[in-house]
Formats: sequence, C-alpha cells, structure tokens
Amino acid sequence: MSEPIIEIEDLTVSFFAGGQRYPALKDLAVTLHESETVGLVGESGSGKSTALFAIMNYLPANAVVESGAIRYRGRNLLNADRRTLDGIRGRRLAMVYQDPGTALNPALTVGRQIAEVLERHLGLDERRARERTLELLRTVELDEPERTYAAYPHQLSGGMRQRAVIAMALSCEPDVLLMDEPTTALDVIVQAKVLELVRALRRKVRAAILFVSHDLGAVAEIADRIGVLYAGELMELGPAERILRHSRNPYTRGLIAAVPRIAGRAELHGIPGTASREPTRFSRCVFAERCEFAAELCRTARPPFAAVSAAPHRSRCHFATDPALFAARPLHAIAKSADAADSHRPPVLLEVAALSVDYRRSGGFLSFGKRGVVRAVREVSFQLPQERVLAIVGESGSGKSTIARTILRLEAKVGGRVLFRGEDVFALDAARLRRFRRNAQIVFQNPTSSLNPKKTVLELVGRPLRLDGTSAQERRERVRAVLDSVGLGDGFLERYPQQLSGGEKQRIALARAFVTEPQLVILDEPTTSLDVSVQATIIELLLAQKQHLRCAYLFISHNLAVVRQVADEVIVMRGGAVQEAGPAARIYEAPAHPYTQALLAAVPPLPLPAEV
Amino acid sequence: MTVETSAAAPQGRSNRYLKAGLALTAAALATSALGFLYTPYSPTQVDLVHRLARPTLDHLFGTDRFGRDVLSRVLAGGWRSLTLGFGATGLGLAIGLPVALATGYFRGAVDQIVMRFVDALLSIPTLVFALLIIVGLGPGQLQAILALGVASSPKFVRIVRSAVLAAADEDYVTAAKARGEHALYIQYGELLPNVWPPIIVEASINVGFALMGGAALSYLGLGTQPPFADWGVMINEAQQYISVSFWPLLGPALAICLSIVGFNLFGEGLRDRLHLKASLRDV
Repeated sequence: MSEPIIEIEDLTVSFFAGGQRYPALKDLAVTLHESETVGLVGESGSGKSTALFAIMNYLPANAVVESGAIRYRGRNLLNADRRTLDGIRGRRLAMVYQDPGTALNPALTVGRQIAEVLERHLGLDERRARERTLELLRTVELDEPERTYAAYPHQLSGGMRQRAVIAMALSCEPDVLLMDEPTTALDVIVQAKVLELVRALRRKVRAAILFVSHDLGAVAEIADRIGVLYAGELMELGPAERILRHSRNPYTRGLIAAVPRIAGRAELHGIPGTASREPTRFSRCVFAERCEFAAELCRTARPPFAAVSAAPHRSRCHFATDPALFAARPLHAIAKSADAADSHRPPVLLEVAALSVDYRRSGGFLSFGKRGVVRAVREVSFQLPQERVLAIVGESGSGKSTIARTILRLEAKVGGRVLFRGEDVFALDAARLRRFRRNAQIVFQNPTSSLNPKKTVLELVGRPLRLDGTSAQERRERVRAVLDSVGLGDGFLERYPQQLSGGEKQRIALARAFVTEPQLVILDEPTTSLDVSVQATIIELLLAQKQHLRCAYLFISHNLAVVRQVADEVIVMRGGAVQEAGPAARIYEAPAHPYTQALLAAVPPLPLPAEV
Repeated sequence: MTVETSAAAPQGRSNRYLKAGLALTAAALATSALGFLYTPYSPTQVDLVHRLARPTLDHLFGTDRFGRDVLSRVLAGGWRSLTLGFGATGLGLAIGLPVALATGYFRGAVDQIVMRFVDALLSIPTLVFALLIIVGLGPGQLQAILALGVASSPKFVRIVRSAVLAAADEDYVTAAKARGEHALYIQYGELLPNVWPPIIVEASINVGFALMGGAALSYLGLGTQPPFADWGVMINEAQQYISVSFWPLLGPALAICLSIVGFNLFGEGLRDRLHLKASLRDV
C-alpha cells in the first residue's frame, strides 16, 4: 500500500469541566492512505466527532490531547505552529460538515464563495477562479452549474447545498476529505445521491476520505475500511467486508443485529443499557456491562487491540480470537421472517376521510405581503383497524406530522373528517373530548423536548391519571407498573429528565402514553433521535406493549427500514398527498408508485453477516 | 452524567459577581433589619449643638442639619428603601408575569396588539413613566411603590414573554394540549417553572433599579414623606447643606450605592451562572 497520508497514533483526548477530567477518546489509532475511504462508525458519545476535530485542530478550549500524535505526511499536526497548520488546514485537509445550511454564507452566492477560496488560497485571477469553480460544481454533479454559481444558498435544496459544500471542500484539491455525518441532515433519496457522489469522488479525485457517521448502512455503502468506536474506544478496525460480515467484536455484532433491514421483518436485537461515561472505564472493557459474552476478565482488564486474522483486522475483545464463543451465539434472526398473514380485519378504530389541512405562514399582525397559505395535507384518507399498525412514510415536508397533530385536534382542518370509533373528533362535546384524549395518546420524536425538565418522572407519567382524578396512592402504583412495563425500575420515580439518557427519556415518554391504557397511540418518529442500538430496544418494547395493551399504532417515520419492522399497512406521502397505500408486505415487495420505488431504492442495503 | 463543554472562563467571573453581590445584598438586608432592633441614637433625636458634625467616634457618619445621628437614620430608614425596591419589583412581576405568559402562550393577534402597546410603554424611560404615574397618584411611599411597580412591568413582560415563546415551542406543551390540559395549567404548571431563571435575574437587577428610582422619587419629595426618612429623603435633606458639609450625604449615599451595586452584581452573576442571554438593558 502507498504511504499513509494521515496517521493517528494512540490519540487520547479528555475534556475538563468543573475541575473534573472526562476522557473522551483513548488510544485511537487509524491510518488513511491515498484514494482510500475509511468509515468511522459510532453512536453518540463514542468520540467520533472528537477524533475529527482533533485532526482539524478545532477541539474546544476545554479539551486536552493527553497523548498521541496526528501525522500528516509524517508531520505531527499536534505540535505544529500556526503557520504550518494554516497551510495544511483547509488546503490539504478539508472538512464537510453535517449541516450544509450553516456551512455556507447566506449573503454570498455559492459561486462567489467557492471562487473566493480559489483566489485567496491558490491566487487564481477572477476569470480562472470562475472557470475552476464551474468545473468543481460539475465534479459534484450539480446540474446547471452556471445557475448554481449565481444562486444564493437559500435558493438551493438541502442536497444541492451539501454538494456545493463538498465542491468548496474540494476546491484546493485536498489530500484528505473529512466528512462529519454529511448525509444525516438530508432526506433519504438525497442521502443516497450524496453517498453515490462520495463514492464517485474516489475515482475522480485522489483524496483520502474519512467518513464519520452513526449510520452503519451509509458507511457500509462507501467505506473500504471501517472503524467502530464505542465510548471513546476503537473496538474494531478492518476491511469493510470483514467488519460487516465476519465481525469479531460483540459490540459491532450487536450494532449489526440492531440495524433494522428493509429486506424483511426480523426480530431486532437491541443492546440493553447505555454506553458508559465513567472516567475510569478504560481500565476494563468499555462494553463489558452491556456485553452478553462478558466474563470476569472483561471487568478487570482492558482488552488489547489484537489482530484477529491475516488481513489487517483488529478487534478490542478478550475473546476476539475465540471462534467458539461467537459461533455459540450466531447473529441470529437477521434472516427474513414472514409477515403475519392475517385475512381477518378487525373493526376500524380511526378513520380519516379526505382530510385537508392548511399551514398558515403567520406573518404577524402588522406584516404585509408575507402571509400565505400552504396546503400541508391534501385530501388524505385512510383507516386504522383496532390493534393494527399503520405507518405513514414520507420525507420532511410531506405533511405526515401535520396529520398526526390534526387527528388530535391540535391543528385546525379545512376539510374532511376524522372519526374515532365512529365519532367525529372535531364535533365532540367537552366530556367526550376528555375521553378521546385519554384514549388517543401521542409520542414525539425528541424525548428531551417532550418531557418538562422541571418535573419528576412520577409527575410526568402520573399527570394524565391526575387529570382523571386518580388518587395519589393509586397513581403511584400505576406509574410504577407502567414504568416496569417499559423496562424501568422504581428508582426512576423521583428522577428528573436531565438525569436520564435519551433511550430512558423515550421510555418515560412511552410510559406516559401507555399509562391511560389508550386504544390509539400516535408515534411521531419515536426512534429517530435515538442511537441504533437503543432504537432496536424501543422497537422491541413497542411491539411487546401493543400485544399487552391491544392498542393500535399510527406510526410516523421517514425510516423505511424501521417501518418495515412494525407496520401492517403503509401509506407513502409526498407533498401532503398520498402516493401509495397498501399492506406493508405488498408495498415493500412490489411498490407500484415510482416515488415509493425511489424511496426504497435509496435505503442502503446492509449486507447480511456471514455466520462465523 | 454529561460532560459540560462550556468554557471555564466566565464561570470564575460569575462566581466573583455572585459572591460580591450576595455579600452586599446581605449587608443591605442586615442593615435594615438591624434598624428595627437597635440604633445608636433615636433617629429623630434633635441635637442642635452638634449640627452637621463631622464623623466622630460618637457619630460614625456625622450628624445632619438638626444634629440627628446619620448612622441611626441610615439604619432606621433602610427598610423603607428596601421595601420600595422589593415592593415595586413584586408589583412589576405581578402585573408582568400573567401578561407575558398569556401573550407568549396564545400568541396571535392579541399578542401583537399587547406587545405593540408594551413597546410603546418601553419607549418611555422607566423613571419618567413612574413620575407620570405619581403625578396622578400624589406623593407618598405607597404611591411610589405603585408607580415604580407599574412602570417596570413592561420590561418584565418583554423579557418573560421571550422566554415563554421559546418554551412554548417545546413538545411538552403540545403533549399537555393533547392531554386536554387547561390553558392556565399549561401556563403556570408547565411553562412558568421553565422560565424562572430569567425572571429571577431580571427581578434582582430590578430591585436595585427600583431602589434608585425610589430614592430619586423621595429625593424629589414624591416618595417617603418627612418626618419619616428613607435613604432618598436623607440625600435630599443633606444636599441642601452640601456647601457647608458633605458628611451627612455620605452615609445614605453609600448605603444606596452599595445596595444597588449589590443587587446588580447578584443578578449579573446569576445570569452568567445560568447561561442566559443578555437582558434588555444591555441591548
């Protein structure tokens, strides 16, 4: 292999806050070679962004590099002086950020911004800079480069903006492209196209790419080698094919088993618990407390980062080279399981008929000319039978969340009807409305926002019961019971939301929805803000609770693989209108509408792991 | 456990501010509490022989134009000044909070109309506004509290409403609506606990401001009426003899300055500590 461009050697980074030291990254060692794409996968708190910022020397003021080196062509960037750094950063190393909206200056045209970089860094004159900019815009496959050149960032779509940001990063012909979750903020179809572009860039430019993401599917699409980070520790590193199909690390295997697949319904396996943040965690295996294979050794000694095969494949696990252990517990149940074939159709619980909702752009009382009405939902109709799961799938702006809010009378409709058990929701009197509100619950995407930070878990979950006049004693009992059913113990009763992890918060939000034993629960992207390993546990929980409470779900999501795991029926929406509707198995296996086909094609097909 | 990534530098400053503010505020409260229990002399005891005396061991802050002990009068008058500060702030909050919660929660046309009215009131300097009111009400301590309280309420509306607006976008408010909660419960049970930080900060700064405003009104003869004395009245009386002796001025002026500085430091320190944005006054 050629000379490495970037060598990260045993990088250890800590943060300091309130006189306390919090290690974030321990002994990270990765090299990047020319024309190579390395994917770093990690969940929140894994240290993947810390690694990127360390390379760019953009660590926050309270972060300290404790040891290690980051070499660019042999030169250590960590002790380089400012001038050397300025010559390397931005020119030799270029970064692409997660949010293309904030990475571009809204006051300058896209072309001007890129041309300016060329004029300043490469000393091109205006005409040459313009030519080169147009060439770059063509490289990132933007149609009509002239038009894009003259456009302001707000005139471009999210995907075009991200392409422009990539073009800017490429402008000085960098050796290394650092990409920080470049597809996370984008819709599915756009995401797939940007991934395609990144893959194409490997052939067009010689730059090495370090692609950091929480999305194993995205990384699997483009990476030659994959590194898996967990709680600041590099757990496994090796060729993509080895990691994805022959992983020798329990965490990687857990992650793979937790990714929902579009190919079919499968029993998902979440990883119980949450990542350790203890400062002392590096004296043992950081994954020990969540690992099903953990032995005494794992709790007392840090595993070495040992080679597991002839190929450069390393894993940080005491038992990495013990094939018997992994063979004993193969990656099960990822194979397709049949959808529940069920010809019996229970009575309809919720009926939405020709529902139309307007979104009013409120300009305020004294604003002129800014007011406008946009039809967010156009004549949408569907029926949700009792105890079934209906999923509404669509990209951002498709109107799917508006439907959820309108069903609960949180939004005014302009046409159509919402019937709950045959009763018009918009015509309920006060007493019936109260009963409806007990019977129909909602869970939101962001559990941090949906739980009032100033209330204890007992107050939060008990509040719907309190509205019914349930006594304090009984409330406590029922809250305890429902917490138990979502997998949380008594110890949570008096805690406040900020003392909980994201997954725990979402469990609390679910407990609050389930505590009144509703017949309908509207789930608005309930797993989107969660890590993959936690998402799988929440999906398991949702399916179990549905059996237990015999309730129906209206499941709203942009993630087709997640929907595949839970939905009986699927509605595909775009621009406020239904594109296609039908049983889940039919939609996924024989999509009729071109838009549905495009959506399905855009999901990265994660290769199935081979049994060891 | 989460790792805080905020820079450490402002933390030290906010700690110094908080400590200094707390010490001065506590001193002001202690001073006026002491005034109830003990004063070296009677605050109204006239001693025509020792008029406008320099500070001596007998009279630490000297004596005023009637030979009354300035220290005793500072101690005895403290509670009137502080009552003005706290009373006016309390009244300002009592008016401002409900308006802010309602407009921030309901929004819409009423919010727009109320806020334009509030903007109009904010364009009048608070002290001038208070003067306008007290001209209608007539002079007196209670009137001064009323005037300063009403005059400071638009500021509270502005600051609390912006906090309410941000909080009202959170999903827990939507969740409360979906549960069928009463609008008043959502405002006072869900939103209010989350907008306390800016309220406390603004209130403590406003106490300092109302102290000054009260002193100004008393100085103009519109607040506390003689023979009762607060620090403002004392400054008024002392300044007439400033060409003869500035000593009677020193005691009340120091007391009021240090109290105002104290309440302000306390508020600023608290604001830095709570990571709040700058208040209206800094804009």
